[in-house]
Amino acid sequence: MQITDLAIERLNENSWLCTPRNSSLKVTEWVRGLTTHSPDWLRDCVMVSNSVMLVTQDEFDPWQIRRSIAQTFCLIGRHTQTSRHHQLTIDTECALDLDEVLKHVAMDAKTLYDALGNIEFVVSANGFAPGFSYLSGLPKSLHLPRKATPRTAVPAGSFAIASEYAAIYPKVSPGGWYLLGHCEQTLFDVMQKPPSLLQLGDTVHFKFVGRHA
Amino acid sequence: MINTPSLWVDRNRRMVGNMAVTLSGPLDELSFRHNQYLLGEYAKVQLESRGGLQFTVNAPVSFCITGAAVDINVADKIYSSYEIIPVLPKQTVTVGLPNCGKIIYLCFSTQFSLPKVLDSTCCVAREEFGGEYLDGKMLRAPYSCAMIEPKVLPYKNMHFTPAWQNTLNPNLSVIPAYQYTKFDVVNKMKFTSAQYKISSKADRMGYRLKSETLLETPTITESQPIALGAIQVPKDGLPIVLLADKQTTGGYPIIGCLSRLSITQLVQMNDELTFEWTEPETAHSKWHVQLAQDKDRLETKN
Repeated sequence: MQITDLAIERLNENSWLCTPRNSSLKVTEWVRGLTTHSPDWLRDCVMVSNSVMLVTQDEFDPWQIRRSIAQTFCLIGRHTQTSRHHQLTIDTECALDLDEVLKHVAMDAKTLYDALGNIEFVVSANGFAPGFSYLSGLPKSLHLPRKATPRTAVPAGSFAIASEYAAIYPKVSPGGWYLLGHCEQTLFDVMQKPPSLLQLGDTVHFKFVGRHA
Repeated sequence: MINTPSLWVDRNRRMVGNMAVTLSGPLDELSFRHNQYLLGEYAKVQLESRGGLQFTVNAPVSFCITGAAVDINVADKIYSSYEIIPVLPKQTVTVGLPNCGKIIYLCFSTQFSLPKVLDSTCCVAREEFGGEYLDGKMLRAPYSCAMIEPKVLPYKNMHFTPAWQNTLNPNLSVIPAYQYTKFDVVNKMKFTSAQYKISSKADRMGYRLKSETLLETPTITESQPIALGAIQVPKDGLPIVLLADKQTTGGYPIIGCLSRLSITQLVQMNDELTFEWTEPETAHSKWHVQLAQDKDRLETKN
């Protein structure tokens, strides 16, 4: 990766939005490197939808931003922790939006859950709320627009899909995704190190159980 | 006694955005730094409050309040913000509600034994973790905490007035960013010519503004990382300025980011306000000039 591969926009005094000009760039690996071996000048890093925001420390000289970012590219591959694979069990008993999803995708429940169970999802971003991971890997046939009227309270542990992502809601929150099951496992515990079970770049396989699977 | 929303704040959260955890920290970073200039290492953790406090201490210690102007009663003597005030056991300290401004930062010349989550004393209600009770909730009375090696500093009056107190109806500086180019010329002009007021929906996460002028927004399809001071414009056309406890990502169009200096004005003032465009380099330079000026006035006198 080279610095010219990134479009860099200054958002405020010390925040910078880096967007890859080429979708094949190893942005996820770069961000994994930044978060596991963060340089002193970096205060925070947020990645979503393939764009990365870097927040620099107060004393950082903004004129050095391009050079400082370029120096972090050596973290790609060389220093990153190996990604982990997770298998999570989803109980389909409480698939509150199953009928709506089946109408959208024109499948029966068994075919839908078989298809979801055969996908190796990748944690492509963490956002929205602590422990909420955007899992990419859904085929286009399962891409659904968000619900027109979001729920005011999605139950904690809900397995859901919307757009090109799947996710598990770590706690009760509003949400416009389609609920297709429930996961018992705790995905975020702030007292653990690291607090998030699912790290950027990790892979996830779902095992669906219960009445509809 | 704690009569208004109060919480311990620091700037210790770091590299948490990758977990969708917000950086949090003081709402008015400038006033927070004033205590750091005055009390140095002691000011790494401070109590952010809206005033209306009463407390006693069990050992001699000094304290200072920065930010909003408040009357402070210590054993029937009246002091004010930007004074380093010694206090003895059995003396009751009463901090009034702000006469000017909204937020105070209370700092003591002692360390405290406070619970930490992610290396920080910050608490964020939305995240449901951190703070005294580890659940993200603010302090509630009765509350006490243990001082570690308190030290009494000599009384000093800094005779200091924060820059924002000299401004009426501020013209706040906005750095064009994010979807700035997607807002059409008319709506960008509407944004800088409208008079805004802070609505009742204002908290540490963000300040929703109100105005008779409504902006038309462009459509965006993907979530984006949210920077401090980002001004989101949802479908209702009224801007929301995102502050210390903002979410890390969001899906509404953003017209720009409020400068750090303007954030301190926004959170302290209650006047009508307007916006003007500024370059990030100018905002950066003004912030550091203000810090240097205030540091010079507060630190050299200590």
